[in-house]
Amino acid sequence: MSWTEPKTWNIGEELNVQKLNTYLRDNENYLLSRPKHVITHRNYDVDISASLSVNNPIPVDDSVYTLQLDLKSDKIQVWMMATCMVNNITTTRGIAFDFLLNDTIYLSSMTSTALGRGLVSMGAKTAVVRQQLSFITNISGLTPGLITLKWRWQSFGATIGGIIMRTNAFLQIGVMEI
Amino acid sequence: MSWTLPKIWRTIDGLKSSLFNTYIRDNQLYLFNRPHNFVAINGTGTDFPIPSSYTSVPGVPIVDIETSGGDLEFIISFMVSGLNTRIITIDVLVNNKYYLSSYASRNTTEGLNAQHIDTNEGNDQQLVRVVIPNFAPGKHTFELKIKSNAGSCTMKLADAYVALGVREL
Repeated sequence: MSWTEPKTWNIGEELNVQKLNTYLRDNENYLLSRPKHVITHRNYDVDISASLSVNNPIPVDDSVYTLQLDLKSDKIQVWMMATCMVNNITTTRGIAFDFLLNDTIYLSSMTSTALGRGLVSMGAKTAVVRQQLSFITNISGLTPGLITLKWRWQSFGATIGGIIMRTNAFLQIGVMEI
Repeated sequence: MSWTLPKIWRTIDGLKSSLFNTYIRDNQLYLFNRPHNFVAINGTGTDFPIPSSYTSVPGVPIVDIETSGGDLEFIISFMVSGLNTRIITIDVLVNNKYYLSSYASRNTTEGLNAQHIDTNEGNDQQLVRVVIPNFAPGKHTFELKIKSNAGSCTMKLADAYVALGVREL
């Protein structure tokens, strides 16, 4: 359902069915359910065997974790909700998550270079430690139209491998127009 | 105020007040004040020893709302503490039938959120926020559930904030 900029009604203007459908019906439907894209995994298991490098964000899996939205306003809310564990013997290392907007800029920095700790990060533990790893943020000043957000991760501290995101857990990433 | 699917206007409908009241006035009121409910515990009661199987939290009421089939947002805020290595898991039981984490009568192993207490008596604030698209319309109840992997941990109630909120987006 599309959104049409509400019209300014004029005295003596004809009130026809086309105007009622466009400016009342369609806009009401749009406001009831504004655009959003939510990816939810129940009992997810993400286990990477490749190493993650420092300051080198790579896709978690773009075939699965790509969010798209046809934006009418200039504002979005983006979130991630996960339970993770980072099992690595060196506790000064860890993983960071970010989103790449339209293949050009990272949301953490709003530049082409992601921040080292991304939007949210978690240090490695010496034991199998579960930890909530979540963020939610609002972003404004975007250009209306189709936007794409791709989920990225990298390491901080040093290159690490053997990362296991906790199995049998709930994972959600999402974006919605606000 | 309920939501009525906006009508397709036809010439023969005419501009009747009853149609404008239902499809314009009532729907605008619905959009202005969409279904929501929210409960909070503002530092009352005593800290709750968390058992090893899912249980309700004393003093946290069941949240109920009637929805129109839109997307629902859940926000849960609470604090836990306990011994090192304890794992505390929370979930939401929907309509006394299934868990939000799994959409099944059994929750996922890690629930909606699992937190490992990393130091003895560490106080960990937890904030969970998830969106469930196209939630079935009707009357619903939502109940906060919590468990631990092995005793010796508590949900802080006496001097902490606990909240469960649900709203249609």
